[in-house]
Amino acid sequence: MELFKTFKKPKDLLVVIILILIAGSIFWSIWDHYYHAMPQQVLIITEKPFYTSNTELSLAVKDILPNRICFSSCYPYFFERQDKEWVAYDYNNKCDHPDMIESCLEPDYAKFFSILLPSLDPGVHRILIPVAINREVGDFFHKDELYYSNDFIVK
Amino acid sequence: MKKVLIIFTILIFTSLGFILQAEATNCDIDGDSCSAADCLDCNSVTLTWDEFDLEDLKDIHPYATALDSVTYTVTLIGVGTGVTSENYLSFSNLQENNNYQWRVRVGYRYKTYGFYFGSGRWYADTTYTDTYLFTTPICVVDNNPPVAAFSCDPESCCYAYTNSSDPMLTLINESSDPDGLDDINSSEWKGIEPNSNCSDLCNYTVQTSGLSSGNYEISLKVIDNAGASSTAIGIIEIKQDIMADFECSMDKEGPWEDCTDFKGIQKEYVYFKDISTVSEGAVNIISRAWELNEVLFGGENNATSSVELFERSNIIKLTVEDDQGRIDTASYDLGARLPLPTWKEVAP
Repeated sequence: MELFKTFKKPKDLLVVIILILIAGSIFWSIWDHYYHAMPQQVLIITEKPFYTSNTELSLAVKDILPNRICFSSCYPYFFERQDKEWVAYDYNNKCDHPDMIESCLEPDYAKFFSILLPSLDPGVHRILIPVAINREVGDFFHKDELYYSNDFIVK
Repeated sequence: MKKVLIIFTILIFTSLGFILQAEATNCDIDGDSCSAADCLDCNSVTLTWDEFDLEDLKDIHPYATALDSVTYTVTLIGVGTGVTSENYLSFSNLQENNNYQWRVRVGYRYKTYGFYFGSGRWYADTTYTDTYLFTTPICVVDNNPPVAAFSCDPESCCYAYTNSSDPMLTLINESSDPDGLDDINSSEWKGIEPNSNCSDLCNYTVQTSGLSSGNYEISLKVIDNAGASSTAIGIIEIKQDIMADFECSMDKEGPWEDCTDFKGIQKEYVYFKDISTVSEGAVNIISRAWELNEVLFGGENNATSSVELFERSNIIKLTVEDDQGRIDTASYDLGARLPLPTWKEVAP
């Protein structure tokens, strides 16, 4: 009650509230600016720049989004080959189970995967990973965003 | 008076007979020594004769001093007349088995001495035209027409198979000509496209591509140098050949699909079913060979087979042989989709 005694008039209280609102909006603006300035990305990096078909490829996926990302159980990734433009490979289109979310990655966390390369055409390739944002393991997968790896060469 | 004129004319012709020695090239015109070898192409003839010159003129006109011009009017009786200033002329379209006569009429201008009244001699131009007949016949030998004939090679099988090149059926041109094979000028084969013409005795290879099975009439016409012709007609049989083919499936029980647009999956098995048909007269397929990228798989003579695809592009080939010894091959380029992508989480 002592605090209220410092306000001699009701007008003083109004001024304080206005000042608080102004300060709040300033802080919000600063936060929002830095939030958007942060990298909104999923880093997907292969271990090596060169591979050959039917060998193992190691892959690191790091979520530097502010959100959780989740992967498909049927098509967690695709290979694409550069032929003037990026061309997706033709995949087996019959997944024998429902396309659920199998695993997720929390912000600032990374996961490492091992992929056995199929027989690919020689040339420049990249890996495309479709992700669902802020979903739970066990949900049906729905692609929200696509992220690409670095380019690498299949000899 | 008439008799005098006739005797005079005969004398003139007889004397000129020594002046104009006529002969024909390309064809013997002696009349008494013709042979087929001399006279194989008598449907055209070039007649030549000795030029009418000043000496010849002086025999007729002793006072002639110069021969200005000469024109020969040549008549090949039954064929036509031509005019020339040269000492030769050609005629064509002579008919076979005919003998022809010909004559040359000479027209000329000459100069002779004359006397100019009061100032000595003078030249005078005189035109004189005379006619000389040559009765030497042109010999046109009797032409023997060719005889068309053909046979099959190999002789024992006068048939071919649809869409097949092995064994290739060749028709042998066995035509003849009593005047010699050289007298045959051309051969024309008709019946199965493409028709074939040649300028001598040529054989004919039957092209069965695109043909359906059945009997086909083939005709061979041969034409000799004199234009006489003969035609032989024969029937050849085109039999239905063995046709290799197979269907594809991702399951050994089917459903079976045409392999043209079929796609397998890498590292998975694809199943094949032979749907070949045997050739006409055959009952069974006695051998089958399955190949993936030129490597055999699937054992011997199996009507169904399977193979695991490792490459994105795979040439599957089936070679079949029936009990008539007919062989055919079918092949498809089978693309393979990538398998479902999988990954395994590992420790960093």
